Amino acid sequence: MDCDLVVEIDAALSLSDTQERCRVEQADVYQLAQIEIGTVTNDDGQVLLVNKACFNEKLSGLLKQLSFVEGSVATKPDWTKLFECDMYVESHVTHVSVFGQ
Amino acid sequence: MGTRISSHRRAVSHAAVVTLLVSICLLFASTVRAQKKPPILTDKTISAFNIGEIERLQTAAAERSKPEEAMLARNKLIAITVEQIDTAFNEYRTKSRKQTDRLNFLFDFLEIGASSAISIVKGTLRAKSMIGEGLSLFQGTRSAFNKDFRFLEKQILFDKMVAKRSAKLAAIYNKFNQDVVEYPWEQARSELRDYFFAGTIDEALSSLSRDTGAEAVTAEEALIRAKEEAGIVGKVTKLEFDADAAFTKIINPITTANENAEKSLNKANEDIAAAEKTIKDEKAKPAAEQVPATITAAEQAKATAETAKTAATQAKTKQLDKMKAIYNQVADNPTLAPMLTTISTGKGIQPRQRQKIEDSLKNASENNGSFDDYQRILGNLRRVVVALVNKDPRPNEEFQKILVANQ
Repeated sequence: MDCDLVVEIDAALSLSDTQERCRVEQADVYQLAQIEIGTVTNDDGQVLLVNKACFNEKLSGLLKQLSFVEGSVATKPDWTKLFECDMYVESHVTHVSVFGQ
Repeated sequence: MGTRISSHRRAVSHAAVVTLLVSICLLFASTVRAQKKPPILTDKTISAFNIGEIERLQTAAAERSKPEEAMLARNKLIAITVEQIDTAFNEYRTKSRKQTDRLNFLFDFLEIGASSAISIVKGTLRAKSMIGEGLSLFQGTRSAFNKDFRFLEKQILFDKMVAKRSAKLAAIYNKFNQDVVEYPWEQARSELRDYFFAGTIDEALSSLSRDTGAEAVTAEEALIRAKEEAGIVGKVTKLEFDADAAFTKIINPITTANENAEKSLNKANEDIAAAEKTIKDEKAKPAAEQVPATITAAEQAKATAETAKTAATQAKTKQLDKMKAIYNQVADNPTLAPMLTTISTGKGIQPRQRQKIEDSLKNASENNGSFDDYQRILGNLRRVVVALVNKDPRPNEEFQKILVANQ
């Protein structure tokens, strides 16, 4: 993932909770660019499922609000489509369209 | 018609006879019998049910002037009570098992008998169909019994009772060597009551539910800890949400004003360039073709654009000063200053971004930072402070104070 910041988000979160987590992580200086499914292995060897959220720095023209929609959705009125991806929603792989505003 | 009814009756009566014969054979073939109790364990002869003996022992156990005898009497009382409780428990367990076994045998017998009768009977299809319906009835009834009376779950509960009883009894036996002052009969009786309740269905259910719940909570807590230790972020908490909203409320107007000023500045520069080109193009024409009004209008447009440029530059400087003031106060704050060094090395920051943040920190510390430098530093500091707010709210409180003072 070619990005400025990667945040590992709990795969067990709902779609709206993951959306809210990504909005907060943007911190008005990063723009969400991609989400990939992945795993993290802790020191005890336990494998944990995560969504790897990739952000790029954007100091102006940032789309601060995010909207995650399940499925492949081409457009959403007044929103700019950022990308589509497969991500974990409540620990299940789901196809999601991500919009910014 | 009459012949057909008589054929049905004959088939059903044949089936009944066959079923009866099979049942008689099975009943007589059954050889499983309960063991006889040894004479010493017969209820009538043992002291466990001798009220007079119990009263004598209770008096002796209360006699503190003879500690050895009192201890012996107390221990005898404990042993008697344990025997009574064990007798009650074993009878209950035996009765429960017998009931289950009888019902299971009855259902087995009826199902086998009915299914065999279908093959043996010589009647018409109707007769066989009736026996088949009967078989379905037996099977359905067994299924309902198993479901409603939870026969299978009972064994789990008995196992739980046995485990709980053993633990309680071991705790009581461990106090056998203590004297009656330290461990009086009254306390032993109270613990024996717990031992009795450990052998009841209610207590087993309650204990099973408690244990399972506790195990689930422990596993859940371990998973949450594992996720935290691995640096995995979860749902946004209220504290995080509030901290984030407070930053946005103060920083957003500054960044928006800077963006607008930047746009105005770009527009002014474009207008100045366009006016200068117009003037240049007009003056490049032969004197006879030049239009003085065009040059005058372009000069006026240029002057207006330069005024706008000055205003935009001042607006940008104002916003830059606000960001610089916030940064300087952060850098002087004993709680926040040490955190500045961590914003470039935090989890997830990629190498190229790390370099950018470190360059911005260097520029800012030399009082030479651009608006972007301060925005980058404060934005990344905000991420760190918000991420920390659940465990340590102090950095957030300090940061908010500085932001409000510069609002």
